[in-house]
Amino acid sequence: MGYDRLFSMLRHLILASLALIFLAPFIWMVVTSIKPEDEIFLNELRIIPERFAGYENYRIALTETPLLRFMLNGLIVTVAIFLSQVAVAVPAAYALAKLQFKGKQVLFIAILACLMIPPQAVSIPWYLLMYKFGWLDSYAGLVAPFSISVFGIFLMRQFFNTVPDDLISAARLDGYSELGIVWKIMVPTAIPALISFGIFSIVAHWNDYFWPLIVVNSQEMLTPPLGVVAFKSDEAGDSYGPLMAAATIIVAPLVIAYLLAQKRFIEGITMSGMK
Amino acid sequence: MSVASVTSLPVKNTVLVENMSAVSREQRSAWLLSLPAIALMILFLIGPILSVIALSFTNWQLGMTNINWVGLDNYREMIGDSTFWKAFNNTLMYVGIVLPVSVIGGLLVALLVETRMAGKALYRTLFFLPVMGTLIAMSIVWEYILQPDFGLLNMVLSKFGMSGENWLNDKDTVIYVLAGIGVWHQLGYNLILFTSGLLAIPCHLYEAADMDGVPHGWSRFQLITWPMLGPITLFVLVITSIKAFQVFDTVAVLTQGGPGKSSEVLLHLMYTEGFEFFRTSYAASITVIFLFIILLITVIKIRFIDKRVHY
Amino acid sequence: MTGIKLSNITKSFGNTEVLKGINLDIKEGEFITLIGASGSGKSTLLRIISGLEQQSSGSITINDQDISTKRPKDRDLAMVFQSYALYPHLSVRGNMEVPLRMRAPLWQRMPMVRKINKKAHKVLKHIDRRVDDVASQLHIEHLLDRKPSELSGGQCQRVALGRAMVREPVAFLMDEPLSNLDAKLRVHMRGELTQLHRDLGTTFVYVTHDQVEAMTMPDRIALLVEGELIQVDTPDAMYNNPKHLKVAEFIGSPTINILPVTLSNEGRIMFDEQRLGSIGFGRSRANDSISIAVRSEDLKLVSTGTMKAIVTHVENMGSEKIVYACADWAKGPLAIKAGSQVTADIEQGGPIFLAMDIAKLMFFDHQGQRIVQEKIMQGVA
Repeated sequence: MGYDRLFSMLRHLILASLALIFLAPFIWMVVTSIKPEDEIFLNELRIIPERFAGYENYRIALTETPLLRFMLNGLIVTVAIFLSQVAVAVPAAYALAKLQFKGKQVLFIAILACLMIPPQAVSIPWYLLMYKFGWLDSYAGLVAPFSISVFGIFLMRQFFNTVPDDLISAARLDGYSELGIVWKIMVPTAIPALISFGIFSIVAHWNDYFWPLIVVNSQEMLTPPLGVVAFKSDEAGDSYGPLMAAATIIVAPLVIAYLLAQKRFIEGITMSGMK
Repeated sequence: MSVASVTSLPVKNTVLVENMSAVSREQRSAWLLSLPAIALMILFLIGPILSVIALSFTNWQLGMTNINWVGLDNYREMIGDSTFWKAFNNTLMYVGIVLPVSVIGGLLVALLVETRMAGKALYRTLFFLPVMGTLIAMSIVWEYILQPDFGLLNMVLSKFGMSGENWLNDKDTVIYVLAGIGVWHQLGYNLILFTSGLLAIPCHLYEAADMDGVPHGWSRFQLITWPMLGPITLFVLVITSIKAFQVFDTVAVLTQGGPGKSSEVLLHLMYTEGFEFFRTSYAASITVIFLFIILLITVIKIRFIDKRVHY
Repeated sequence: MTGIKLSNITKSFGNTEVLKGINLDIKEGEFITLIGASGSGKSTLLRIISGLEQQSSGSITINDQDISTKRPKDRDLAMVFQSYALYPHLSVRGNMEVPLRMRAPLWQRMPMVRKINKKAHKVLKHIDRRVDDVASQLHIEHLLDRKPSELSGGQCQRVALGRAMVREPVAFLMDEPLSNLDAKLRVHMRGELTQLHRDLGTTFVYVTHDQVEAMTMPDRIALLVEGELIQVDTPDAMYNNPKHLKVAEFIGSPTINILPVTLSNEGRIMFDEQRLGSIGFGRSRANDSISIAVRSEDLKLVSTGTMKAIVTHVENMGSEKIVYACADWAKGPLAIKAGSQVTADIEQGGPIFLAMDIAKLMFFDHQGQRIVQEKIMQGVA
């Protein structure tokens, strides 16, 4: 029993100190976001600020740059990407899982091959395409290349495979069209999988920096990650208080959503492990 | 009897015809349903990947109207380009640190978290948090933490009587610092994958080990835990190395490859060549190398997992 | 006393009491089945014997040695799991070696030691031989180099048995070992297990929910209902002389027929205007409800009479037919075993008439306790 207690305590000691290191950036970010400037440049470790400057820091972060606009851009882009991915992937996944057709095998192999393509590898042709379409620096440019998610097709196909064929036969006898089956029968059964995929997709694109960096120029089209970088280089070279406030605002939505629905988030984020 | 068989013949035929039309109807709807996906796949994935490969054999640059095949010129230039080799080596170095540390670390922490009930859920939550934080925003936080004069790290170090450094401006440390941030970002992800692997081990195996007199600790880990984690470990290794090869965000925000290319990595080099200097075809050839590495890892994964899937 | 002795074993998970004071003496070399519905606590009891679960109170002794708090590996018991629990990456030989190897000191188990150390070599050679012996006993010699994933369910079952046997434990604990096998193989393995028990002469404690398994193999059956041992007896006694209504209901297929009656003022048991008997204590138990239980083979089809029932369906078992019927004087559906000739003219929905062999009736009081035969004075028919 003595050994057991010792081990338990040691375990907590190790895990708690590791956790503290892992959390330090978050803690420091939030703490700095409410510190006045003179306390930030203090050459001593002070965690709780003597003077609360949260109000002015957050005010500067929200007014000096259109931070809320960036957030709105992020929301529009991520939601648009997710919805188009679902609209494109779900019917294809249904066809692959439940219908017999010539070329099915080839299509599936093509999808498996496309799964391996990292998005950065096709960014040059994407840029040229967006240029040709006149979609540079627009929502369309941010969304269109991601409207096809082969991972989404693959995932939904795996899920649809588990739906019994009898359910589809019954729906056909009840007079549903194929498209009707997809949206009225398959999608409702796949809600949990869609939620996981949604989290995966939204988190990935909210955090994405590479493609927006290439396709976006003008201030009003910036997504949150671009926005906070722009804020750093334009306004707040050294005013760390407002900068940390801006970072906090941008990090907050996903972190809060994660804390509220941990299980779903972990499922969604680790889903790429299924590939 | 014969009358009946004569009349049944045409009936059979119509059934056949109806069946065939049902089959072709299914074909048609299958194609219609996958058409948007196929079209977009060709437009945004297959077409682009082929054109990147094709571009890498030309001298085309953004804005040029004519295009010439130059064979392997771009690759020849790349081999002679010391910056490319710096980026290549730095990327390998980065992966070489992030991969073992975040995988072994993730496994050890997962084991430590799962051995006891107390605080299990809380620890999982905390360690996963860095995965959720927008890496770009957190990179800015890291930059501030690593700031030499009033950054958190150096202040803490000086508390312990150690002198800090100018972490991001030191040629010798910068890649390790970036790798450290990479580990910070990746470890929780691996921890969660390992945890799910641990939870999937049937508890009957541990009970059988109890009955068979297998001692706790190492013997048990060696007999059950480690072999049962085999497949998930492979996943973790592959995913971590693919993610690590894609390192870009931290470099772009914290160092831009500096100082003196000492933190240049493949993707960042490709970005600067392609979208800052607009040397499109050269960037394409870097992309091809990058793609080749990623494909290599994936192929290794497929081979291994096909082998391992038997048990 | 030799064997396994359980005294006042209780087990609670939170507020739910799963086992409510179990006392059971398992004799050395005995084959005993623990049977009960799911949730009756039978598996928990087995796991407590094995040490995988700790009892809330009570004690366990094996051959007079108290092992109540000992760890599983120190109890010298072997267990066969429902899911076999074979180590998936080890060969059949590797799996069967584990219980022996783990008892050798760590250094002897190191990969190369065998080649350089004589003692280790001897120990490991002994293990090899033991595994070979057991494998041939179970007819799995040809499987020794395979992995569990390359085995059928029945073969896995044998390997799991083999892993339990190599160590020559004091007793084998088996947790529904046959329930993952298909029906035909199950019948076959029943026979083999009985044979194996005869050969080894070791104690078998066998948990099952399948009453055929429970009836066909063991020396004794222990029936658990809601955490209590209702009766421990030989299969014959369980069937012919159940001490509790729950035993009568649980054992036997089709389920025993129950006819509820009320005791008259004089303590008489009246059914169908017949006096079936009366209970000695007279008025004190007046108006008590009594259950009469009668096996399906003790109900007779007759051409006419007062016990009328309506046929719901007939099951043809080949050698015999089972007629299911309903009647308002019976609790639940009635089942009657009948020869095939007799039932030729029986049709669904039609009436049948029944008669009972009074000597074969069993009486249970309102709490389900058997009213012993001596207490019932045979009435006039």
